[in-house]
Amino acid sequence: MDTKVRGFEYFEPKTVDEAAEVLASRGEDAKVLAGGQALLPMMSARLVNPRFLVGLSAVPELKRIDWDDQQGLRLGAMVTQRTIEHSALIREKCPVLADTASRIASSHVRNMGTIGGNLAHNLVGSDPPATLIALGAEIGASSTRGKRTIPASEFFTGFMETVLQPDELLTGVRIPPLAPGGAVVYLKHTVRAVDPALVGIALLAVRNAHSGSWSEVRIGVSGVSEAPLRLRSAEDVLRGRQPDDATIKEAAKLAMDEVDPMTDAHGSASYRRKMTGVILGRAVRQLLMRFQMKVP
Amino acid sequence: MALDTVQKLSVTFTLNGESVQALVEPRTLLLDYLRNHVEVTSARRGCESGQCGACTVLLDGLAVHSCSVLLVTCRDRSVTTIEAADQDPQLRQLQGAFVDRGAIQCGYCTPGIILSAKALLSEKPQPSDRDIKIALAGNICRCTGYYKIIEAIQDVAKRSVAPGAAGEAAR
Repeated sequence: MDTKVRGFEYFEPKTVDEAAEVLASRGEDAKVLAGGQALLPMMSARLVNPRFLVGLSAVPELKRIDWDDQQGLRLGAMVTQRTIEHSALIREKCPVLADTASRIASSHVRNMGTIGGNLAHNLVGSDPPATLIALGAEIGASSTRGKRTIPASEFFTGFMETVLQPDELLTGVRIPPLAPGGAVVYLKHTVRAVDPALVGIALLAVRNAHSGSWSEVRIGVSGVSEAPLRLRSAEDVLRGRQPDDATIKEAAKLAMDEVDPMTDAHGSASYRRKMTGVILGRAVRQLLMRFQMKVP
Repeated sequence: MALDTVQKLSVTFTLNGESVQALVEPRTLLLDYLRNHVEVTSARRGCESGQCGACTVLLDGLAVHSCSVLLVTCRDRSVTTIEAADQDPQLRQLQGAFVDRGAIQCGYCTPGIILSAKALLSEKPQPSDRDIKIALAGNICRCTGYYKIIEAIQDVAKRSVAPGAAGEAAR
């Protein structure tokens, strides 16, 4: 036997427009190949058997990294996790994204895996979605019908599902600049470092320099629901205050109520729910330390 | 697809320093090509889902799981397997250190681990034990020889302390 992977017709577009052309007519029966770290194992297991495969490795515009003081950081879909982890520009402008990338699976996977492939597959316990939700990132998609951007908090719709349509290509992400006084942290709870997150929480807060209270709060969470989500009820508790012990307990309780974890080989639903509260508390305390505020 | 319509693509890439021209179905994984087409069987078939690292090779110097790479995406790139030890003194040093330290039992994971170690030493000639653990997180040894593996890699790193000795690392 030569290979376990079922046969397909391979397309190698050179531009986003060419890729969109292929997907416009064949999208229903096609898959897009970015770094292959999620898709190829599923094809080897014959869980996914596309008739057409659209490989993006020859599309240079998808490998770009750009920074603009107003627009923030733009990453093409084919930027690898390794590049995000090591890029001096990303480490300077958005260090939490580099930290998040460094927590993904193994270096082998990070060397090939891309930000676009990661987001499009929406595997449970994936690290970048939580961070991108907290950062208020936008995800770009292109088709022959046009272009659109989707807030990261609205992109993930269900178990391995996103808002992307069969004819759409995920082209990249844009992360707005952090507001003055802002800080972000991503915490991952897992048994083995290479595993998906049992709970992955990213917390962004902006501290008002005069009052010391948190004027803006966003929380992205991964691993504890069918899809990554924004924990709005916990955000509401933390917003407009200087979090103290009672605030942290209240936010943790609301976070545990807001998630809907599944049991799998990595951990039970009840454990994940409980750890959601614990990890959120740790994230709040880390930001308080970062702000040099009183830590309860 | 009927036999006469099967798509085949030409791929030129470098394998252990030599140019190879392959004509393959696009579904051919790098691991399939190495084992079945050119009999490079040091890349082992393990979990086939990108977790165990038995199939590790270097792609442009970086450790990757060859079960999770299509050969057609290796066009104009450079693939290194443990067979390159014939021309690569550092790979031979690593092999020797693994034997000296008893960092090898059944041997199934060993080529992959040595290649991951090579990729690490190219980037960080003097790694900490933690650096080694991170670099080997994608390689599983079920004989549980991890401590000896770390010691073997540190032996090679310490030998290259002298200036100039880390020639490969300067790349």
